[in-house]
Amino acid sequence: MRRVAVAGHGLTKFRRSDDSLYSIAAESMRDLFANIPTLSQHNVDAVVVSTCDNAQYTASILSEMLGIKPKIAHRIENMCNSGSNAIISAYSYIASGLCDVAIVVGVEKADSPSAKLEWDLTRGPFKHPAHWAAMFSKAHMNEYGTTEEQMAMVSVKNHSNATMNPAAYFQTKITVDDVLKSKPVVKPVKLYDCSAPCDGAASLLLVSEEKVKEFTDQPVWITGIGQRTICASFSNVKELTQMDSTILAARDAYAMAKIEPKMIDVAEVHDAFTICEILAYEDLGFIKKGEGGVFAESMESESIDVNTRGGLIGTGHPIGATGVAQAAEVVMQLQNKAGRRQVKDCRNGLVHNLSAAATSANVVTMGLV
Amino acid sequence: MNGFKESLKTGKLTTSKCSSCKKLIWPPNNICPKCLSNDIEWVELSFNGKLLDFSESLMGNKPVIFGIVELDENIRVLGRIICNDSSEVKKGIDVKLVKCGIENNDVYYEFQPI
Repeated sequence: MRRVAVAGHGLTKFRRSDDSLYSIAAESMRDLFANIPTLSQHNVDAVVVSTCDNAQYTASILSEMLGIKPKIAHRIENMCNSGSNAIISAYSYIASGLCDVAIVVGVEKADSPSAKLEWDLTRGPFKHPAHWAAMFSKAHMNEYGTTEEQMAMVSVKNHSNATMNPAAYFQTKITVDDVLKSKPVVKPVKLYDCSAPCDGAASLLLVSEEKVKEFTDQPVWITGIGQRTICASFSNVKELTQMDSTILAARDAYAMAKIEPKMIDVAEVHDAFTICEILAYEDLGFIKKGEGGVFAESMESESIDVNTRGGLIGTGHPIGATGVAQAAEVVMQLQNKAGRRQVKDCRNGLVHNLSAAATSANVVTMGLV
Repeated sequence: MNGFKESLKTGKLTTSKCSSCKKLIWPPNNICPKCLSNDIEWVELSFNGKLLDFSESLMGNKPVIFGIVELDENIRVLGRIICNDSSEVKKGIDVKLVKCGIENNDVYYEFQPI
């Protein structure tokens, strides 16, 4: 297999707007071209779109809009995993030699149909994800003594980080008290424990090792990939104190990258709800099982920075864009382009997504070597 | 799949069962995920189960207590828990299915503490 690097990124402001799905996606692609001055349309031989929108033929339409005639153009849908799945697909095309230069673009409107998994009749009318988040929260609180205050601290940190990210939907710091007093949604999950749907798009340029020097002198290599699907229905998730799909995906990604969790400097984890970030600390192997709540209290003194762009909670969660925007943050951090959010001496980063009550997960690691 | 919803409308909770390997399939499907047979029969599920955990949903017009119920057949659903005294609702209590059906295009299951 050939090595694959990310050369650069493009982003839009995450927002609520009347703009169409296509114009939001195209805006992030224009930003990608602007950020990589040597990139021309004729260089691009794959366009892979990540979205859960019902819109048809998105990859070909966006290719036409941007004047690209790629060999490969299609879209990927895999609920909240869509963004990292699109990256993994583009990676695979390049690694296998089917193409050399791929644009991955993730995009979503706030009214995305994948906010709920309609298929899952085992959830009865409790299809909104806050219901499974409440069950995971209660299980972790019961088993390990995790508190609502500790979960609130995740939201406080991510809102604070978001104020340093001009693309983030939320731009205001909040306190633990604000989270605890926010509207109860499904006990113990409150409004500020949840990520919010919004509009947004993010793009990446993936390039083969042979060609990457044409586009950047700071390549960020995709070093590890792990994916795992356990099931699709919430009723078949038997363990609620951990996310089995994340544990297995992370194990495969670390093995492929030949790295240990402690070597990760920056991680973008899937904080759809605050409990998901606490579970991710543990299930990605950053700390021992059960210590996630305590870890949430002491984040600032730790050697790993999690969700520097503000996470899904602070940045907003345009579902198809999220995984791509998370990867864009890791690329910015590794290229030393993260501005006020820059973490010192970043060498390895990680992107984590999970779908539908953690029934499946993706983990992608990136590094400078 | 229609068999499931048709039964549900008459108050019966059913699922599919593989006639070849006898695996109970949940959620119902017309292919057995174990042996891949499409020789499927519909079976009625027991009305009894255990409340594994519960919470209160405040997303609708009024608060609703719901929980994960594991039926005797070892299959799980998210159901409403109906009772006059909410202090009776505890983890691990036995519950029985008292009503199921389709409402606003969503299936629903209602349980009561025994």
